[in-house]
Amino acid sequence: MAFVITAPCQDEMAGECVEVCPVDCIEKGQDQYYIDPEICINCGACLSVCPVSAIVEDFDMMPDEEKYLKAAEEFFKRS
Amino acid sequence: MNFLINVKNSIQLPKKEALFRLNRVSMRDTMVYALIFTFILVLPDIFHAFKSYQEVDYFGMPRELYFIQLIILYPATIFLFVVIGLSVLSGLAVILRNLLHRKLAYQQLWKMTAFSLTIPMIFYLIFRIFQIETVWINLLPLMIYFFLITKMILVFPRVK
Repeated sequence: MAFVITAPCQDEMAGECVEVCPVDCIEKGQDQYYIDPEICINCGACLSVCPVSAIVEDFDMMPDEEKYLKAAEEFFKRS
Repeated sequence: MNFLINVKNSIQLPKKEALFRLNRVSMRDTMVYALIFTFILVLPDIFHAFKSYQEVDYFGMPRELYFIQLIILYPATIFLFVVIGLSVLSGLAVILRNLLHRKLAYQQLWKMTAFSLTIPMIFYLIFRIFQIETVWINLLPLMIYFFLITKMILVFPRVK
């Protein structure tokens, strides 16, 4: 289980989640921030600070949002 | 309803699951929680003041004005002190966080402090309701708070 950053982040990229993440698992990508699903401890600290509610739990994701989890996995595979 | 869920989770602290559920609560809801809790906390005083109104003449103050002061101004003033107290305790939690080498933002510690004070405040309320006058009335809630907040900070992994 982990959190996933979805589409609203692409317009905002506020980055407040980076400040509060206790395990530093959020990194800035080219068009949005990404959460490393391998490191995320599912603490939920990022969820309450996101100003655009872009962060969702992976089991709460809509089918069309699953691409963001795959994008995050790809992002951390590359970096 | 959210308030009751937050109370239930707060009572379960410092359990990891409860802490992580409370982490998801927004800052606004945390403030509402603290506000409602403050009101509950001052209820014994309000009842006591209602009862004693008949006995004491408050310099001829109209009854309506006295009750407005009691129901609105008194809890509002206490709430201000609660917010200041929470901020000071969160400042102390920052020192604890540094000693324990954890990465936790001040706003997170503020929220954790607000929820971790539930159990200490229940003890405080019991002391007040039964009018127990002891040095423990302030000391015991503080000791419980520091125990809880330390355990809660330790839930998070050390900074690498």
